[in-house]
Amino acid sequence: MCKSPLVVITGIIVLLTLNSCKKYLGEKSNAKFAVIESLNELQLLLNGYGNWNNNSYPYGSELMTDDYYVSTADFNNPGILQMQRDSYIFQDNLQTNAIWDASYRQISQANLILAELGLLEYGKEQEELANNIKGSSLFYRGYFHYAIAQLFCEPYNASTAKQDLGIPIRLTPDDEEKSVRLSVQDTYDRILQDLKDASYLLPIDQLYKTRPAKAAVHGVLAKIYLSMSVYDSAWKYANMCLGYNDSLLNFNIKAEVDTGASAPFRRFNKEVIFHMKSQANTLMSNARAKVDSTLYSSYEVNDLRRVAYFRQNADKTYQFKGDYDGSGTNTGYCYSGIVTDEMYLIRAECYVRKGNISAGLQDLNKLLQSRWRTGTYTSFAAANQQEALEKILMERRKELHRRGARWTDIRRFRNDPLYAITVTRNVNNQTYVLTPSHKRHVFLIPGNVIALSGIQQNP
Amino acid sequence: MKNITKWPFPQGWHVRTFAVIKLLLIFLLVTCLHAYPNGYAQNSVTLSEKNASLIKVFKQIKRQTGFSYMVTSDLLSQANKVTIEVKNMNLNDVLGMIFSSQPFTYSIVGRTIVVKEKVRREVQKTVELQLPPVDVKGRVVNEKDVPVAGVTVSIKGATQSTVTNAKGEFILNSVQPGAVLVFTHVSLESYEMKIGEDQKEITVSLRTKVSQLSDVTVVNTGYQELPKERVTGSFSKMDNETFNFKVGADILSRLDGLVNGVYFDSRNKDNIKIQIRGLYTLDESMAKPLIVVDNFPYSGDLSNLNPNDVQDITILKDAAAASIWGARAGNGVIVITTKKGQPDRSPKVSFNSNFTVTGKPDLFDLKVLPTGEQIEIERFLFSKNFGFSDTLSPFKPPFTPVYEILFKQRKGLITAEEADSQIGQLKNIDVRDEFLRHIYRKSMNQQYAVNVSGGGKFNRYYFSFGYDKRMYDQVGFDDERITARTNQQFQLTQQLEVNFSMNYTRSVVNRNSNGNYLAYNRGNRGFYSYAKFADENGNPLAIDYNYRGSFTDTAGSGKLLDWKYRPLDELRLADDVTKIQEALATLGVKYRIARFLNAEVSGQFQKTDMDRADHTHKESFFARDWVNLYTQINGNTVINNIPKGGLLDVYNNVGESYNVRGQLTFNHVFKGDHQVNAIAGGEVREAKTSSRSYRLYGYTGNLNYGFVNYNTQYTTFLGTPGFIAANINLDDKNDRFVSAYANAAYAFRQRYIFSASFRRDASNLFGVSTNNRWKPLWSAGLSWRLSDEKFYKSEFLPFLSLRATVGFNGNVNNSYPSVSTIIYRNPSDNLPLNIPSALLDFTIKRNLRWESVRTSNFGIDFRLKNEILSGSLEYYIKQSKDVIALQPLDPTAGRNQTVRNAANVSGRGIDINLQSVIIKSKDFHWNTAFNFNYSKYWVSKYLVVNTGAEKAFISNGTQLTPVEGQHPYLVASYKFMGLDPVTGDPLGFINGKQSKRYDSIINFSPFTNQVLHGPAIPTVFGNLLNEVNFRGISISFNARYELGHYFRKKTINYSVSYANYGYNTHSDYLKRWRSPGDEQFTNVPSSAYPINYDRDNFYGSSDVTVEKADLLVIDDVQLRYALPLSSVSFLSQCAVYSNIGNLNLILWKSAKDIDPRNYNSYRPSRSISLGLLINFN
Repeated sequence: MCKSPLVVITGIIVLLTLNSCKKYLGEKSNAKFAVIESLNELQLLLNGYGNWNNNSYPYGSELMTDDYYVSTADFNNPGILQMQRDSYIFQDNLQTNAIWDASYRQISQANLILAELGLLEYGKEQEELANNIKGSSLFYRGYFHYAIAQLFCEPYNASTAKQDLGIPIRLTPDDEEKSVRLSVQDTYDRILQDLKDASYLLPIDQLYKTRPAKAAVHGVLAKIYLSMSVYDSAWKYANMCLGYNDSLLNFNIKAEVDTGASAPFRRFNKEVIFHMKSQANTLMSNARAKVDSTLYSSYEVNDLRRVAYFRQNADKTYQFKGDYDGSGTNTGYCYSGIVTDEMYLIRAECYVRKGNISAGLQDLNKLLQSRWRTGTYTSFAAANQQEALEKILMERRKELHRRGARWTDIRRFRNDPLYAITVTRNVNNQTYVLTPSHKRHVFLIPGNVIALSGIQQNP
Repeated sequence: MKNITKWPFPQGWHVRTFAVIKLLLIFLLVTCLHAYPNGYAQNSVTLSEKNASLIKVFKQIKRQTGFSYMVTSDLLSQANKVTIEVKNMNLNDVLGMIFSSQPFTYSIVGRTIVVKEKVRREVQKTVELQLPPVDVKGRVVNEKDVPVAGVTVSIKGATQSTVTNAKGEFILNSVQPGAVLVFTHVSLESYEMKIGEDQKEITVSLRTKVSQLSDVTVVNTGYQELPKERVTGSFSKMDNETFNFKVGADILSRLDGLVNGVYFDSRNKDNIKIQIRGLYTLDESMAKPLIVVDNFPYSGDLSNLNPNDVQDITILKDAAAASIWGARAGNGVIVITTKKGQPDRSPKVSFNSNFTVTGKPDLFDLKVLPTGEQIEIERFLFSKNFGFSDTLSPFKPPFTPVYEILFKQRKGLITAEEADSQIGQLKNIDVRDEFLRHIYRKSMNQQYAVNVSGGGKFNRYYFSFGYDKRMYDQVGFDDERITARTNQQFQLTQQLEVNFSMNYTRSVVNRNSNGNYLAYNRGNRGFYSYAKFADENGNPLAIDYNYRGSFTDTAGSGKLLDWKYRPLDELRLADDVTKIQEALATLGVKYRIARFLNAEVSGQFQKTDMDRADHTHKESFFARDWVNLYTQINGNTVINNIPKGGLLDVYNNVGESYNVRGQLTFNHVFKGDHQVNAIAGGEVREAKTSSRSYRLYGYTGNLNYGFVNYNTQYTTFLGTPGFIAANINLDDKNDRFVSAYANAAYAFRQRYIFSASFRRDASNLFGVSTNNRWKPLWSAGLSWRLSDEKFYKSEFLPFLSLRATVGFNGNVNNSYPSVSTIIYRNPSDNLPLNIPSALLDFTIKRNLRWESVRTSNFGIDFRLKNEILSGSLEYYIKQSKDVIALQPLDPTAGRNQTVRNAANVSGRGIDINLQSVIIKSKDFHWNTAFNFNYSKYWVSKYLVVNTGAEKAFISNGTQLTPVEGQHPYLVASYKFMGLDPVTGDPLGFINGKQSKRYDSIINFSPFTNQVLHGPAIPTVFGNLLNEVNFRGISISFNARYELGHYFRKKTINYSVSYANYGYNTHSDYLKRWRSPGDEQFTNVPSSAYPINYDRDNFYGSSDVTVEKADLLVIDDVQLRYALPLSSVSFLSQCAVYSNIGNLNLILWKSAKDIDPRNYNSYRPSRSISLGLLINFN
């Protein structure tokens, strides 16, 4: 009499626990989470302003330049990280994880997108989107590897690049992969390869300036070749970049540059080819970082950059306000996007170095014309190549304030007896000097990286 | 009953999970319809026995009717064998048949068959010389002075007898003086008493039967209830009396310091963590016991349950006990059982109320510098131009009043004398006085609870209502809670039992305080100790909050709203109300398929709804601040990008959970010697939460609000760019579990018990490959009742039993996906682009397995003669494998740590529980319970190798940190080598040498360089609970001890002190090194300027700041007076009680000058409660 219900109840239990479990347990535990199933998810990752364009590019480079200084009191402020102080006064044991970790995080993210993209199947109609995703990821991977190379390995020197120790290059998202330091030559070869691959895949136009287009890749390539002192290629890519966009802001037109405002430049203005902002550091916030006085006085009265870039402090020193993010409150970041003014300067320098002084000065004069008060600028003429070069390098420093270019130049001219740069600091009644032969042109690799991977530390 | 074989479900009937609720209803309905019409014949018996022992027949009767029996072994030895064949016959008739052939007779008392000798009439004849008979009135109580109903009072050698009523009272008329009264009861020891000549009123205190004591202890695993003596596993039980040793609205805190094997880690008062036999996981989010309420895991907030509804609490400690709960029981299980009605009981009303007052917090217990000294620090910093660059900051951060005075002096606006005198006035203020006057109050809790319970032959019921009101120690912070609960059980037919319970809670919380002393700040600046909240007339005063006074004085030249912050106005205007409703309903249907087999389907539904509306009044600072920041003034045009008005932040969280369980229960005795108790079943569980929140701007009450533009970047009034915060948030989560389980115990001759359990769990661990979804867990155990062996003849130790178990539990964490996942972000999270985006979830874990915990447990249970001492002693070994832990990664991989099954945790421990009745006389009782727990565990494997080159390992023991061979809550320090006699700098140790290179000590010091102290939580702990009762007045107190652990005390940190302009500077500042020679008296380094973080960190984490935390303390005392009630007919119990909590009476401690439990804050204030408990008949 009792067998039948027994069977049924047992059946219920069995059904409950086993049947349709897969479907039941397939429900995701958080509705905001999703697995990557289509190109759409990858594009969403690339869409994130905070993922790529804000707060990830390293600032480390600018900390050590001669474009600014801080007071002893600010230097001692408790809000300042030890690493920032150490960088400011070029300490031997200077170490930080912030730069390394953040850049490799971006690289890993790019690698993950590339790896997931390789697993996805999509139709022909989506090929354009896929190319954009692949091109963007390669662009970021190349650009961030370059950012690391600017800090953690010797500047590119064609004669020693095959022997000099480079950086670990990551091409997969595998977190078990062992880090190995390539040579500087291999490091740069790989970076350039990624970017060149990207330049074929990316479109000419993007909907947003936060997405890299062909011009952005060419711009980065121009910057990299310049840092390598390979001027032919630098010219080539700066020229190609300007082929897409050669606009310049007219500092005389308030709608373009509101020189008197606390934030004179608009974000995504017409000079901007690609938008990116670095990490911030509290030592260089605009309340603390004061513009080098010699640098400030080198801007002539009719040079509108004098008012568009700088604001006077209560103590008569000057602070920077002219960043291309347009926020007016620089909390200590560098603008690390691609902007036409830099391309003009790169092309000008390369022209001059190739011996085409007039073409170089034409670029320079066109740029400066837009910076000066209307009708006050007289075109610059140079007697010889060196004069032209010196002028261009000076204008590089003046135009590209807080854009990361100064640090590249300090490294680039390290072994150049003519243009080598020495940085001097005075703080707590002591003087510190970053001589051209100083070993902290190359940062120490973070201790935990060395400990966990066993790669060789820098001297 | 034959009809029932026709089952209503079609063949191949397919269970869709949530159709199960429907199934329950159909099941119930159909079974009722098909039930046999005479199913109510409760006392009918079917027997078929040949030459069976009387006891066996009694057991059959008990199983079928629920009637228990009482027979002495004397009588039993005279019993004849029984042969009987009856079917559905009335119990009385059956008993008549059985006893016709026995040398004794019986009577039925309540639901007990009492076997007694046949009365010999000749005894009565021998009584000569009779005195006048008297009427004897009396009252029977147990050793706890609780009246006992149902006690049979008879006259020895006579037929006359009576039974006590609910108040324990009885009357026997015409009793001959000299006669002997015999008191008998199923669960109490019999007692004989000779009646004197004029003894008319007597009170008899009966002792609970020893065997009954242990039988009464039933352990509830949440799946089945078993007598404690038939289980092999390890349990701690908190009975109702111990549960009520403390008062308060919270259930779990009543366990603190009272339950064997359970430790409350209350170092962080806002996040108290419960550990059962240590911690065998390394992730805080998993390091919690599973909480079960009335057989189902409880996913709501336990504060929604009324503690007055709790009957008892069982803690499942080892694998045999807890593995039935499977993958979530790795850290133990707490089973809460609520009160139920009793069968055959007239309605009983019980009322309990209490009132608790707790003092204001003792802020002056904090070790901080007096105001004057703090001001000196400010003067010093000012002289160093410290913080001057903030005058240039566009955010206009405020300065302290002392700084402002000094600025004025510097500018020549006031003279040095004026400045000194203004500052001098500030020195007399201590903001702690202001807090105690305006922000704090005495906290007051009121609790009222009433319940009605009872039952008839076929049903049992329990209804309760509770009301709690709490006023917390901060003005504006209070809550109230109303709870209603019912529990109903119906015996619909002999086969079918239905039970139903429902719990409803509604609470309202007002959080209108600005924060306590420790949390207070001035927006983007710390506080200062000479702040005043009100002037002499009580008018609220302003302090500079977020912005400098000179800025808010003039900003906008009258075109902005007032921009001042007045703490007391904020307190007055705050309006933040949270309303919580929770409903919990359970339905269970139990069907007896056969005598030995029950089928049970039960389900539970829970829903919690939390609504919070935080109205920032338009006159409050935060509303004015938002409006002002987004105001643009162009000449005479004033544009308010945020409309004038307040803010309304609305939060709505809904939690829902469903549980459905189907279970078969098998209980059978085979041929007397073999007994099997088994269960098998399956369950499905889903817990969903969803939260929604949004903000309205320009809110002016009456549901009026204004529009704002979220995706435009404005230039704020400070000149900085900013977006208006949208504060919209949507979130949905859903955890699902499916499990199958079985548990069986086999007892041979009641002496040898073997048990085994098995369980598999699966959950919707997001993306985990299906292989790892099903987690099999098992346990096995045996127990041996040594004292029941024939060879065992110890009178001193009448009860002795041995147990041993082994098995596995698990730990599960649903928050780690194992494939690349992204998290969707709204366009509003992706400004300035304002397009949808996603974040990569960097917590991807490949091949993650569930943690498993293996426990072996060995136990001895014993009882000495007369219960002088009874208890248990247990030894256990635990090891968890595949423990999920953070593993450092080479950051070149893209992240510097990842989550892996990277560790094992091993440990062992001893639990001793002793109960003793030290003194027991008519008027005076002294009972003691003692717990001793030793729990030692360590990380036995961790994949990370310490290379020696990385950062020094330092820990305060507040975070779980895996270090191989060490306790997960390890305290580790830098080695302190004294102070430099010239400069007062602290000296450290690196590479075998004294050193002041603090950066090297911190960043490059090998692991072996540090001092490893030991665990931050005790390895030995326990308590001694004493209850002394003298004529109804009882006093109970609990002494607890904690040994074998360490803590790091706070000390001066110059960096932090200077960053806060001296506010809250630790008073060790006064002990600092000032001049050479001081190093002989102090370890506190000299003040260092400019700020040197590394130096402060080194000293603050050095071994001189660590002390042993050993402690012996009394926290709780209860006084109780039970009124003598023999004259009040309608009351069965009336008691007044008073509890003292947080007494913090430290009897002994190893640390000097500091309370090891309250080293980072002030001690909690003492509380006093007064309560009244009345039980009506």
